[in-house]
Amino acid sequence: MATKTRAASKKKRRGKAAEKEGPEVIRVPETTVEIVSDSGEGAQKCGQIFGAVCAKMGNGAWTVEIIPAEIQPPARSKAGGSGNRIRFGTEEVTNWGDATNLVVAFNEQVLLGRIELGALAEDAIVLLENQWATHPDEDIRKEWEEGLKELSKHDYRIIEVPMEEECLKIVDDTRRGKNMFALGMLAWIYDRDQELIRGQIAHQFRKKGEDIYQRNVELMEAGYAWAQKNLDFRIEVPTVPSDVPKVVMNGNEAVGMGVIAAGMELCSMYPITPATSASHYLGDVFERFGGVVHQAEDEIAAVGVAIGASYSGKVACTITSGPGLSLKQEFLGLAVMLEVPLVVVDVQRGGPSTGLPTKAEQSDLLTACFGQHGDAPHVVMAAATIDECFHSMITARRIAEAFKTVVIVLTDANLATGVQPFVRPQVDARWQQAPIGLAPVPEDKPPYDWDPRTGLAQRRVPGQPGGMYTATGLAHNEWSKVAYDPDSHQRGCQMRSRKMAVLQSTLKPPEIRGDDSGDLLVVGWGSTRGAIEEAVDRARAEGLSVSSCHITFLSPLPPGLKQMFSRFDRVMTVEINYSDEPDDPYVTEENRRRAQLCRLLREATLVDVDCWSRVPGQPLRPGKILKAIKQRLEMGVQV
Amino acid sequence: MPSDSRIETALRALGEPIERYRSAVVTTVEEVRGFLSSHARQEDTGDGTATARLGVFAAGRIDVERFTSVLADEAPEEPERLRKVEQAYEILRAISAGGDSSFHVKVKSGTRLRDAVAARWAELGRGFAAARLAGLATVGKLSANGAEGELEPLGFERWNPTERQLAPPLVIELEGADLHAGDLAEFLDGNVKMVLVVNGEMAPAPLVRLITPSTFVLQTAGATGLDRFAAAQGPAVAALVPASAAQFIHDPAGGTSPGARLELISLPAETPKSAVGGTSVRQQLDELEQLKTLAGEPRAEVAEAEAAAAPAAGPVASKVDKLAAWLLSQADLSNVG
Repeated sequence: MATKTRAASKKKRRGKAAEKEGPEVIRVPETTVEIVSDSGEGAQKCGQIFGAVCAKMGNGAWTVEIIPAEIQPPARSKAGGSGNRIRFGTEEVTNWGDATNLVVAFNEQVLLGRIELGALAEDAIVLLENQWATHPDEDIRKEWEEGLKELSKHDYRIIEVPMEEECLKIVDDTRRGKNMFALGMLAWIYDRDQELIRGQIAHQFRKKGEDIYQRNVELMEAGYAWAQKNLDFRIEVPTVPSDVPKVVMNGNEAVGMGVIAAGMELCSMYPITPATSASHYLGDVFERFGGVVHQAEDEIAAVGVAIGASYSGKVACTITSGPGLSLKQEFLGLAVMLEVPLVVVDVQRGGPSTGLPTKAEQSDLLTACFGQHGDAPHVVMAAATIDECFHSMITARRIAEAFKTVVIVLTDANLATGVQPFVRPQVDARWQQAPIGLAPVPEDKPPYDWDPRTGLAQRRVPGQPGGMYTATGLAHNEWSKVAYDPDSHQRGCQMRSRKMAVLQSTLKPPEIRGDDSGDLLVVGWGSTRGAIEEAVDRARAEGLSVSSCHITFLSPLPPGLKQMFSRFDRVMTVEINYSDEPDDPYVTEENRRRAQLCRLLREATLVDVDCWSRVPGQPLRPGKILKAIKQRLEMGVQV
Repeated sequence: MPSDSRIETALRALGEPIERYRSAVVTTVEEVRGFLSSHARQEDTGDGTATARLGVFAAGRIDVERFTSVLADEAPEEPERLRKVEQAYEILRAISAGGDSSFHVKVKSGTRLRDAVAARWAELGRGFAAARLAGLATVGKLSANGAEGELEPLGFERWNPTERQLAPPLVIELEGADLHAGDLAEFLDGNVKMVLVVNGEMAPAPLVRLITPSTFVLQTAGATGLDRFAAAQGPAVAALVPASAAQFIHDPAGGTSPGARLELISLPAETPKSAVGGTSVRQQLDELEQLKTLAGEPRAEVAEAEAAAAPAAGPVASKVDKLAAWLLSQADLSNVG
């Protein structure tokens, strides 16, 4: 079947690949590709393999999963698109970018859904399955024709691909085949290493047997051959192979590996999107390293088990998402009260309530900091990249044990499912060392033998000679005896709070990217770092006086912020959580609801920090942040 | 077959478990060496360990010196602790450097088989004690004065399930008169492997007393069954015996019934006529009868063999047995009740 090329632009288009001339090679420093299908057609798997191959070939890469909100959405629906977006380039890639340059779509409806979300670049190339044109169902044929009319309003280059027809030559069920055919097409277009692809396919289907592997390789090769024969262009994204060994994984896998590397012994959790895959990963491998994954009956039990394990001297963590964090709050207060070390990972999703389970958001910051009743000071920190998902686990464990308190590590759905290559960690045995001394405890030493200066006391573990005591969540004195007298509670609160001040005194001020002073300082936290820094770099390249800083420790905040902010005319946070715009109806300076980090910074520094935030259910795009930066700069001096 | 070549055969049969044990010891030696070298570096770089413990994520974000200074209860590794780890390292190194002789035990004539085996395993068990100590040090749970720091010989009865899986195999050379199989029963656990090289006169089927559903038991005069012994999962004991003894293979993989598991290769041409060591004719006959019963042979033959073995004097043949029989006949048991 001949390839049909539709393009609304007046640019000269070549039809079938000119056999004599060969394909036109377009060289770009970076590009973004999407594969999108109905749920269950394997576009995500195709994208994961393609992203991993790009990374292994030496490209910088960042992938984002396109996940429908429903588990089994209707076929051929705009909202049901499932797939993967891969941005890769010659240099390091730190975020998903602005727009997709090439998309492989398995039907026109999921493609239209992506267009409605503004995902595609104006001149995007679209490789579109065309079986729908001759589908026996008349309604589907009509949808196809209407869809193409809609597409013709854009300046895309649309190439119809007979994926169904080609895949039927190899498999009976094309729902389990088109993804590898698409992978083969991409492999030819971007000149990807086929041996690496075969290796990734083997890894992906390692539990399925040789036949399945061979069939998938055959499909991939068919896609490659089809593209070679029918396409008249190739895209070259130069690779820079590195001698430094790297690993490629998503954020949840990195959290899981970090849990192991940190020497944790128990991960107790209840399944919740988008955190569950971290426990799946740990479930596969944790026992090999002496660890246990405990799936509790609910979120509350999960944190309870982790607290119990920690109380008895084990290194324990729990992993959850927003709704789970809400349920755990009472027990987190208990852990703070008991002064039991505990690491909690919150893979944030959209909220409130069940909200947007599969979508990225940074809305849990305030609940992570203040969700418990009473005064329950603890540590909150955020990972900004995939490799920080790994490394933060080691630091979180260390702080939790050193300060005998709860450490909440915030990641989000963007990091959880995103894939990025990073330098392979050199695991250090000292990460796994515990600070617990098992030396006998003198009988005259109380279990909460608080150092009045630091609030710190030696950790006690049942079984330790002289270490036995009754733990209680009730207000207690230093002997862990229930005490309702005013002085005891005041003193307990004071000592627990003091630890946060001590930890804060050990933190360093965050580094500024760009100049130390200027017109605008953009402040971010968590997974937005790549997009913010790219936007700021672009702004600086345009001559604008903009800098950025990214905050890792959110409770306690690092020192020196007020002084830092004072050197800029305006300070603005950029976040993925809700805030009112200053010019919204009824919104005034007094009642404006600001973004969550913005609130923390205003309270801590008394600086009039501004914010720009959105809740699109997607990561922020550097182009949109750049627009917001320019808009704020036009407003002039604020601080 | 001369004794030396039978020992070589036995060591060959134990090649895989010996290799597994050595590999585990060598790996542990490397880990402990890494631990010691990292703590040696700590002395050079001051806060090296504190920095490492906080992880890469803390770099540029936490002032390590300040962090360390506020944690008064966390001192660097104490010299006493490090000294213990160094001792453990030396023990492990000595074990890893030991040759095949480490796995060869010669039972002195007239002494107990159990004592010889227990002593060798306790000595090799020092490796496990050293590994345990190093493991505690690695995770910071080793106290300077605690009992967990013991580096004494560690008897088999104190080995944990993982250690019993890694048990160093033994080739045990002994006289047939000293072969009291019951001495070995307590050691048959985990992945324990033993080959007995028997010299001189012996009872015909002593190892039948070790048959349990999950224990591989072999008596062979040549090399028959040694390949299956080597491949057996779980506890296994083999005896290289004179041709006059019974030969059989009890392989747990054979099935669920004793008959399915037991393969009777040959029985002795002659029935026992005299005690061997402390094993009476009666006991020897019982062992043979048990062997046949387990193999599913008719009891009548056993009865015939028993009758043939003691036509005149009954089952009592040796001086010791005669004395025992007389004592029994003199005892008045009528009031026992």
